[in-house]
Amino acid sequence: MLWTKLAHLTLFELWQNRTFKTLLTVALLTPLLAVGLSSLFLYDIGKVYVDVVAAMAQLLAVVFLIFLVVTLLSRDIFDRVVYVFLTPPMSRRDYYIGRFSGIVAAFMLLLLVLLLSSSLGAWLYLDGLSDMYQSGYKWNYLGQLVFFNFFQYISILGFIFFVVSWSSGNAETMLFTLAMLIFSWIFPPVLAALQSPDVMKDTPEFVVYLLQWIYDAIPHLRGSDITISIAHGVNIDIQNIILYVAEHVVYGLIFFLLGLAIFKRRDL
Amino acid sequence: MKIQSVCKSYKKHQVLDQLDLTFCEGEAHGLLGANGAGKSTLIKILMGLVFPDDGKVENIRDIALLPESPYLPVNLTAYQMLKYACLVQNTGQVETLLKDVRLKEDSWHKPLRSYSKGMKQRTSIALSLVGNPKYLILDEPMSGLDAMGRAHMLELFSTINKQGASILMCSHAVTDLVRLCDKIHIMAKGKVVESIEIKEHSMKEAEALEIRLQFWSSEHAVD
Repeated sequence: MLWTKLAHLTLFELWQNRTFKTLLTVALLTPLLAVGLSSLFLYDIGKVYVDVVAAMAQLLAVVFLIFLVVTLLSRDIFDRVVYVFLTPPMSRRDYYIGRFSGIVAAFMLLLLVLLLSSSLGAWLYLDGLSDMYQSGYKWNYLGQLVFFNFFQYISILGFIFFVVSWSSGNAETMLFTLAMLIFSWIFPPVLAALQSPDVMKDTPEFVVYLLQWIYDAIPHLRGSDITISIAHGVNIDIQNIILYVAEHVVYGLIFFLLGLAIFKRRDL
Repeated sequence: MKIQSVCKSYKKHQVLDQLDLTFCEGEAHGLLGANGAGKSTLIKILMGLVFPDDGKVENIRDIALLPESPYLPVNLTAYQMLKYACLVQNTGQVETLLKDVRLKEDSWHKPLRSYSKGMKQRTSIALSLVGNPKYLILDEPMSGLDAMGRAHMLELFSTINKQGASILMCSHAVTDLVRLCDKIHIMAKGKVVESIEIKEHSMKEAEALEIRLQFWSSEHAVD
């Protein structure tokens, strides 16, 4: 279980990082921003509060992945810091799993801070308001939000590990990560719209299959949308929620394992 | 440690060509050669960081590397890094090692990003000594060190070697190699072209070796 020691060191290393400390501070200050923005509205203050926290959760996750994870892994591989870690008995597998686990732990910590601070903010700010103003807020929405965000970005994290395992530099890793994030945000709604029965009836069959395949091949970053939909009164089946989480876990796992297989064979 | 007929090329460029090398436990060997002779690639292959295209390399578990530059996670301190390495190797030598490499005590708990190159090199040396490895591979171990530091490290490596550890040192400083090593291998064009036994560890031997190296370098250049 050598990887647990590296996971611990990774968490500690990220904790020492100024960018991570800044992200933690932003997570702590998020309720102030949410309170400030939601107080601009007359009604549905609770909904606006959830919306702001949802946006900040996405922003924190993206900054964490691009500026911390990609930088850390690129430095390890391309600046050869990995040589320090890959001294026997630490194997490449231990290194890969250890780094992943440490990063996941740091990400969980970041989201946990966001959850606690925004829940405290909601408790202090929304609890005193009447039901009409609170509308759209329930105590469990913020928990759901963090939960969905965690799993959806685990899939992107798995993808980053996959890219790092074969890419030849920091810029390449950054490019593919950004491309994946953009695809995952922009394409699913567009593809879903293209697959509507009205559009599909005049579309050649192979194009339908191609669109379906692309739709299935990229993870859909809709975790915040789900929570916001719930907050805005849309009922979402629990089965769909489980499938959504499972999709991201499986996606992340497949890319993580593919990356591990390549990393074990690459020259460093 | 046996290396048999090892070949490695990067795209079309042949870096190691049917290289053979053997060294026994407790010996100190040196690797000498012009830039691009294949020394660093050989070291990476020994550490399992690079895979050979062909040939056999003995898989050794009790081995440590001092890389050519101090590659370190700069947000951590030397103490934290050593503590981690000791945990992995299951030993508790943090302070002894930091004292052995003469890293000033007031810098132990400062982040590595604030270190000079020499201090980073000392940390790197301490890291390579964690767990008293049986085989120690040193790639340019004196880079960034001052004259006092060089003399001290040579003495330290010599003591470690006398205690039974095998050392493979790669350096451009011929005098350092002659002082420490029992045998020096000259590499050119990805092969060991000459192996020289060092008997006296003297300046005279170092000068003779410089001449041999210049000869092989010029042969290489002519080709």
